[in-house]
Parts: sequence; structure tokens; C-alpha cells
Amino acid sequence: MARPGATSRDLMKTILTAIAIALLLPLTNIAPEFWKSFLCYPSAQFSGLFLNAPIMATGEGYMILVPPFPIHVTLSCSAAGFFVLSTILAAVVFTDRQKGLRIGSLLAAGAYGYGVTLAANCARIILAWYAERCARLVLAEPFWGSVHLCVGLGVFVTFLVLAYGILTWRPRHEQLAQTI
Amino acid sequence: MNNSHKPFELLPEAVRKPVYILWLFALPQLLLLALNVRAYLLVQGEMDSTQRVHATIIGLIELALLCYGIGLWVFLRRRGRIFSWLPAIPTLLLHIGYLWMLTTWGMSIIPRAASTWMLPETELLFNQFALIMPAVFYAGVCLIAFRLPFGRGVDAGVSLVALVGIPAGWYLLFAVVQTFSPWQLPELIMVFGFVGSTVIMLLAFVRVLLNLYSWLHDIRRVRFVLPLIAGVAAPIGGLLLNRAIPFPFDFQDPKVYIFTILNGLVLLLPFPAGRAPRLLMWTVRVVLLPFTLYFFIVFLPFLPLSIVAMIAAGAGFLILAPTLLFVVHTRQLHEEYKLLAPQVGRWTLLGAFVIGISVLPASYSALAIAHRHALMQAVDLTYSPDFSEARPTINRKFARAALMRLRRMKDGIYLPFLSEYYNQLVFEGMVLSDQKMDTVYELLFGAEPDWEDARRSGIGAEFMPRSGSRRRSAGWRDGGGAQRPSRNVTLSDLSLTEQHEGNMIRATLTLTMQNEASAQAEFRTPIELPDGVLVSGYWLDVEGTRVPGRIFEKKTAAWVYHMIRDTERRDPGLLVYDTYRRLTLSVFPFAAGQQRVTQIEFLYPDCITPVFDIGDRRVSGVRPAPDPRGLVRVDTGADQDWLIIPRNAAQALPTTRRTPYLHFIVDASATGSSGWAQMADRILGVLDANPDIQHCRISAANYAHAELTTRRIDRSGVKGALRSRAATQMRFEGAFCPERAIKATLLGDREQHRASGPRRPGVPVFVALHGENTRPLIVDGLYAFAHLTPDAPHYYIQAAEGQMTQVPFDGGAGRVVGRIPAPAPVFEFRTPGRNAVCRAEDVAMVAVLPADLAALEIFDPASGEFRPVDARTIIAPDAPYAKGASAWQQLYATAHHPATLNRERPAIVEQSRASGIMVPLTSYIVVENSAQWAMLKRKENQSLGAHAQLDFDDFVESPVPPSWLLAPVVFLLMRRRLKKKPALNQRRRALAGI
Repeated sequence: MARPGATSRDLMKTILTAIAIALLLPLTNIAPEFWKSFLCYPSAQFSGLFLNAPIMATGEGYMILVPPFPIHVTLSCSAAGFFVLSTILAAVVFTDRQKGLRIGSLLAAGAYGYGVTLAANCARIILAWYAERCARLVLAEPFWGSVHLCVGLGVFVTFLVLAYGILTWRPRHEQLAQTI
Repeated sequence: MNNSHKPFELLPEAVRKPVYILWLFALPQLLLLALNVRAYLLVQGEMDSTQRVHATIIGLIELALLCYGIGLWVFLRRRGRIFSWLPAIPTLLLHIGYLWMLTTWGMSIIPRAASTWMLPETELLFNQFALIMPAVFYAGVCLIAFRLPFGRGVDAGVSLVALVGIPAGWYLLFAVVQTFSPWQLPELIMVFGFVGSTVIMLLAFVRVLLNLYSWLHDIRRVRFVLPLIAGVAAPIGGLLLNRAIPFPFDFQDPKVYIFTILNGLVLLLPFPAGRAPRLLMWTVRVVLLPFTLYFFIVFLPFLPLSIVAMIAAGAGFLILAPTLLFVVHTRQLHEEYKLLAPQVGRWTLLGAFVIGISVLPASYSALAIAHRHALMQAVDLTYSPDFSEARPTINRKFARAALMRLRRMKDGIYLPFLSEYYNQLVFEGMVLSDQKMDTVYELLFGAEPDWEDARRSGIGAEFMPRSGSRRRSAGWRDGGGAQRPSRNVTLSDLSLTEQHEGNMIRATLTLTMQNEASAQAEFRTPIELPDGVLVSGYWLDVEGTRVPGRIFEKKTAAWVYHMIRDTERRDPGLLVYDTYRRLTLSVFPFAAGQQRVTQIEFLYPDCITPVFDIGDRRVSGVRPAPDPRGLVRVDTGADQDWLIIPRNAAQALPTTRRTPYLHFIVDASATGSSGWAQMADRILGVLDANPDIQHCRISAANYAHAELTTRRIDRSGVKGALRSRAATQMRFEGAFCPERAIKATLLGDREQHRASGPRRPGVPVFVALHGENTRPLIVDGLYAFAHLTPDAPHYYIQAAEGQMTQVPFDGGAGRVVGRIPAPAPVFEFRTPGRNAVCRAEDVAMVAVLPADLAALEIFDPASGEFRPVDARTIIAPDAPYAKGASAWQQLYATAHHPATLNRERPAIVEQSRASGIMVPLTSYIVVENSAQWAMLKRKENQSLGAHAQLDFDDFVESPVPPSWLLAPVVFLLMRRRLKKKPALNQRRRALAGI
């Protein structure tokens, strides 16, 4: 990510971010029960609320009992990776704003990442479900999974950009105002 | 109406009798205690010490509440007192306190490891509210119905102010808090205030109602107003609101609207004069009481949310409509009871009440039972027919109604309690898959189902287009579930090792599989089995450990494998029969480049030299030396034994060719009538094209079948036989299903020759002739019947344009043929009084013969007589191979008599498990942990307890996109920030300069 004109501090930040991602993403594969409770359960609850469907606990996660086909929110639907990425993104912005790494910033980044993850995952689950319903009507079976993936990707990217936009929008104005 | 200052009675004393404490406090509490104890027993093993303490406290409190209820009842009864406002206060507080505690502790009482599938949290919480709220409501009503020293107007005014003021106050408070966001109320005050306000508001609501009822009741001309509001306006308004906000459930079923209006009208009708009309009117109102009661009970647990509902939606007060209806309905019944009792007597009224209140529940149950009967009859006719019954009796109209109702249920309308009750009654908690529903419909009506019609007629798309909240479907088998993993795993090594055990061989097939792709993948391959080879074991390498597979019922194992593969992505392996001779092996997962090993064990007599086809690879056992022992008899202990005929022994046995005759099966389906006139010419055409075959028989078939000939006829009798259709009362209806006519004929022939004993006179060659607009429907296939006609294991389908397709009994692909080939040579065996034939091939084969093989004979065409055959080598019935063969024979028996499948299935599964020999109803599966094994057992019990054709539910999974796809976005955003930062700083500096 190095670019002409980048300061060594920026370069260091980029490298540290890459390391953080590389270290934290594998953590999403351990303690599955934690991720289920931490992310799957609220995602399923909120999605169920939006879809007006009851949820049911299963051996692998939570089933949103919505017609025409229920949605099974399992570990692979937890968006734990997204949580890591959005938290890191928030942490980068917060630490940048705070001019350093502070516990408070990290906690705030975690909370922010959690909120964004839940919102994004709910949106993804709901939209992907609708998309798959449409796909089943017009496309052959091998394409359903791709449609699901594309919608999920689109939603997550959108939420990442939005989350970043919200993070950076306020400080800019505040900084400008303070400077003036 | 000059009584505004006169004290009045808001709640009749009869309602305050102590006996209600038993019904509304003690009984629900006892039920709740039982449910909670059951839940505790389920999860206690997984609880930590804190959870145990919490559970114990809850149990003790429940016991205390139960004792309190019973004690209060005893006390009041002994003192001859009623349940006044004074005991109502502690009752209310205690029960609210219990719910408060439950909600505060949340479901943390349930251990996470257990709660996920054993104990759904939402269900547990709902149980608490559903069974505690009756006591809360009753105590609240008794509390609020106290006398005030004011007149009715002031009293109602105060209640109304509380009713309107509280939600309005909360709304204003929220508005203020939102405007001044930094300021927040302490959480504790919020919660206490909210609960307290809800209680006061609900009580005020009830008091307003009681006031209103009491007031309106005294004014004859406006007496209809309250029933009009409570019976029609509020429920219809509530239903319309429910259409937009389906909370707590979706009630958008036309029947709900119809019953609502009917109930409202019945409540509006004036109470007539005269004893009989009054009794009739009262009974009619009692008949509809369960409807009112149902909605009251459904909404009761959600009453604490009424303030939220009012704040969230303007019309949220309609959540109270069921309570309003309940109060008005019950009060009206009570008032009329007081008028009627002196006229007709209490016992008469009690009888009328019992009968009346039973009408709706009994009707619903009867309807569900009738649907079950009709559905199961239709399912049995399709999948488990009794072939001896040529003309099955079925109420097609009722079956269609049941299927349509099922479709609507699957499409969404979900009524709490009722849908569960219906599902349990009709489906035993399982589900009929969409594909099976389609087949059943097509079989009965000869056309593909128009489910849209069901949706239109049931829900009324234009009236209420939105569907409900639940669908039960089992389409995952057809690919309706989550996305499948890739299958780029190849078979890198294959070996077969054989080990002698007496006169048997245990051969272990070792498959080494390698994932060539860079993504996680699944291995899946077909394995063709030779005749006489049984599957006796399976192992899978799980992280370096050789884990043995276990036998489970096939449908259960396939469902669990699917669940694990698509959700947990952990190490399942599955081996199942696709057909009677073909296995499918599935192993998952394979990481990129990973190599794994799996093993399958086969068991067979040492006189067999098996050749296994695994995908496109082939491996064979060691060819044995010519076996001097000759034929090997497998004593299954049942009424049929197996005779293993080794290759060298087969070469020494005399073969014969049986005389073929054509058995025409003509189309009598719903679309077959138009082509019936041409059938005679078509039959004669087939006979002309095959001059070697002189005789034929003719049957007509749809979902039933009828033999149009009593014996074999020549071409001169064809037209007369077809004319006899009318005499058989065979109507043109349903689908054209030649399969069951073929099966019935083969079984009939076997029975006939079993009894008679002489040589089998000929071999039937089946030709199905269908009309132009008909598609033959094959439901199960004919594999299990191939050995009944081993010399001609095909049937032929002739389309209206004359093209003839040969279709093998084993379900292989059909091919177009010009004429019918001659039957293959067979061995014709005979035991005393029984005959059996076996196809003569150049490989070892298995003949299924009557059990009495001591005097086995074979027909020798050279002498024209039967001669003895030596089959001295016997595999004893207690040998694993013989036990497995016995399980296979049981399976064949259920295939020949599908009506027995439901009854025999558990025994076959158990026998398969006990012998370790897999049969097509079972499978070998390997899973990773004890929870998955436990789940397998639990699901198997559910499956074996239900109808064989019912399946597990379907679902779709929603896996997230991989993180590596998103990581670049994060870096791009960071890059953007780093890029912008200097510009921002520059701008800031510039501004500072200004």
C-alpha cells in the first residue's frame, strides 16, 4: 500500500493493519460458540424481526422460520470476518483521530464494528434471501449460490464504505470548525 | 338513566369465586412447573453452578406460587370469601415479579451447549408468559373492579385519563429524550416505570371496559354499541392492522375474517324472548367462545407490550382488541346465563355449555383427522400401494382439498397453537416434500398441480397478497437448500484387500482421495456392486483417526450429512444405496490439496469374484479356483433363501428359454379417453411387428388397474377385451401409471405359480400404450421386481405416434427399439410345490428361492423334466452374511408389499444395524462428535415414528462472502484516508492562516 509521498507513519499503519487482519481473521475460526452467541444470534433475531418470522435454535445456529424457505444462520453466516475488518477500519480512523492507540479508541472501534456488522449482516441475510427467491424463479440451480454471494458481497462492501463515510464525515467538519 | 351516583357492580361476584384461582393460578402454574422441570432435566447436565442456583430459585418460586394459589383457594373457600381486590394485589405483584425475574435473568439460565437445539429459548420464554399471564390478568381484573365513591361517569373518566394519559405521557417523554439526546433516564426507573405504567394502563383499560359495559347495558337502545365495537370494529381493525404489521403472528387467513364477522354478528343479535330461542342463542354464543378465547390467549402474553405497540403504531391500541372481545363476550354470556338459569335450569345450561364450547375444537380436530386420513390415503396409494387391491377406494375430492390446504399451510398461513396442533395431528411433526406432493396430485388427477390455484382460492392474492410466516418443505434433496461445495476431489489411489473368514470373504476397499482444487470441496462417487456382495462396514479418516461408521436410517443420515456439510463444515462421511446395486459415497470436507482416506468393507461368499466400479475406476477381487462345492445356499431363516451360483457351477447347469407373451397396459388416465378408440389397432400393430409372440393379455391402468382379459388371448380377442373396460367400471381418471399394473401382474403370477408348482408357462413382456396427451407416471421404479422376470427385465412404452421405448426395470435410461427381443436364457428351479427362475449369466449370481432348498431341482430341457441339484454348502442363519441377506429379503418383501413399509421399516433398520449389513433403507455415516451422533439418534426416532414418506424440513443457509474478498476494500478505504489526510491538513493550515 505504499505510495509516493506517503509518510513512514502511514506506511507503518498500513503494514500494521495488514498484520492485524492476518492475525485476527483466523481467530474467527476458534470459539465457535462465542461467535454464534455474539453475532449469529443477534443477526438472526434482527433479521427475524424484519422478516416477521420466529427464530428457532438448532444444533448449528438459528433458523429464521420464514416462508418460502427458512434461513439457517450458522457459523458460516456469522460475519465474524466482516466484524474484524470493520473494527480494524474503525480502529484505524479512531486511532488516527486520537493521534495514537488508546484502549478507549479500541473499545469504541469494537462497538462501532459490532453495530456495523449486525446491521450489515441483517441487511445481507434479508437481501440475499430475497435475491435467492428471485434467482430460483429465473435461474438454474448452479447460479443461486452465486447470486447469494454477489448480493452478500455488494451489501458488505456498501456497508464498509458507508461505515467509513460516517466515521470520517464528522471529524472532518469538526476539525474544520475547530480550526476556524 | 339517573343513576350516575349509584354504586354499581363492575365485576359479578360469580367471577370472583375462589374456584377460579385453581383454574387460572394453580393449573397453569402446575403445567408451567412441569414444563420447566422437563426443560431442566434436559439441560441440567450442561449447567454450571450459577445456572443451577438460578434454576433452583426459579423452581422454588414456582412452587411457592403454586402453594400460594392453592393456599389462597383453601383460605377463601373455608372463610366463604370471594377473590377481592385485597388478595389480588399480592397475587399480581408475585406473578409480575416472577415474570420480571425471568426476563431479567434472561435465558442465561440455559446452558449454551444445550440450548441450541434441545431447548429453544423463545419457546421457553413464551411458555412462562403464556402460563403466568392468565393469573396476572385475572388478578388485575379483580383488583381494578373495586368500588369507588364516585358515580359511573367520574369513574370512567378517571380510568380513561389513565388509559390515554399513560401512553401519551410515555410518547411525550420519548420525544423529549430524543430531542435532548444527551439526557437519558436511568434504566431502572425506565423499566420500573414502564412495567408499572403498563399494569396501570391495562387495568384502566379493563375498568373502562367494565364501566362501559355496565353503562351501555342499562340503556337498551345503545346496548348494541359495545358488541359492535368489541365484536366487529375492533377485531376487523386489528386484523387490518395485522395485515400491515403482522404482530405477534400473521392472521391473514380468510377464515379468520369470516369467523370474526360471524362472531361479531352473533354477539350483536339481541337476546330473544322465550326459553328455547334464548337457550339456542346462548348456545350459539358459547359455540363461538373458543374463537374469542383463542385470540385472547394468543395475545395475552403480549399484553405487556401494549404500550410499546401504541407508541410504535398509532393504531397499536388494537392489540387490546382480543381483550376487549373477551371481556364483552364473557360478560354477555354471564348476563344471559343469569337470565336463563332460572328458566331452563343450571344443569341444562351446563350441558349446553359443554356441547357448545366443544363444537369448534372438535370440528377443527375432526377436519385435521379427516385431512390426515385423506392425505395419507393418497400418499399410501402413491408410495405404499397394496397391489392386491386393483381398485383402491379414495375420496379424490377430499384428497384434493387436503392437498390444497396443505399447500396453503406450506405457503405461509401460520396460526399459533392451531398450526402446530394441525401439523402434529396430520404430519406427526414432519413434512411432505413438494416433489411428493406434486406426484400425489399428478397420480390422482392426471395433471401437474396448479398450486397457484390453491394460493388464489385460499389466500386470495388480490385480497391479502402477503403470505404468512412459515413454510415447511423438504426440497433440500432436490437441491433446494444451501449452495453445494465444489466436487473437484479425485480418487488418487484405490486398493482392495481380501480376508478369508471360513467360506466368506471380508474385503476392504481403501479409497485415497485428493482435493486438486484450491477451495474446500466434497468427494462424491458412485460405486457399482456385483450381485451377492453386501456392505458390512465403513470408516473415515477424521484428523488422523480412523472413525468407524454407524448404521442409521437412510433419510435421517442423509439429512444430518446435509446439515453438517452445509452448516458446520466438519467431517461427515456418508455411504448410501442409490439403487439396489449402486452406492453413493460422499465425504466432506477437503481443504485445498488435502488428502483423506476412507474404507468400505464388503462381505461375500468366497465363491464370488467381485468386480467393483468406483466412478470410472475398476477394481476386482482375486479370482478363486474352480469351486468343487458347487451351489451355496444362504439360509436367511425367512421364507425365502438365497442360492449363490458360482460362475463355474452356472456353466454346468442346464438353461432354458421361456415363451414370451405380451401384456399390454392401456391408458385409462384422465387424458386417455381420446386415444382409446385407436388402442385395438395399436395392439394389433405391436403383435404384427413381433410375429414370434402369439398371445397377449390386456390391462387398463390409471392410478388403479383392471385386467381386461381373464387368460391369454390371441389377436382375435383384442377388440372384445378392450370393449370390456366398461364392465370393469374402470373410469378415465388420474394419471397413467403402468408401473403398478406391472407389479400387480408379476406378484399375481408368482403367487399363482407358487401354489400350482408346475413349470412357469411363459414370461410376460409388458407394453404400456399411452394416449397423445398422456405422460406415463413412474413413481418408485421396478428394480425390486426384476428378479421376478429375470429373462425379460424390461418394459416397453409405446407413444401415440408408435415409437417404442425399452425401459429397464433397474431404472436405467430407456432406448428406442423396433421390435421386442427374445427373452434371455434362465435356470428354472423347483422346490416342492414352488418354482423360481434365475437369469443364466456368465458371472456368479444370486437366486432368490423358496426356503425349502433340500429338494432343489432344475429343469433340464434336454430331458424335458426336472432333475435334482446339489446345494449342500450352507451359510447358517446366524452368520452375518445370512442376517444381512435376511434384511435384504425383508426389504424385498416391503417393496413387493409397500403397504407394509411403515410397519416393517423400524425392524429392517434394526436388523441392518444388528447385522452391520447396510440395506437401501439404511446408510453408513461417520460424524465428528457426540452431539452429532445424538442428533442422528434423535432424528432417527422421529423419522421412524412417522410415515415413511414424510421428510424433514428444508432451509436455506446464508453464508457470508469470504473475508479475503472484503479485505481489499478495507485497504482501499485506508488508502483513501491516507491520501486525503495531507490535503485536509493543508486546508486546515490554510484556514488557520486566514
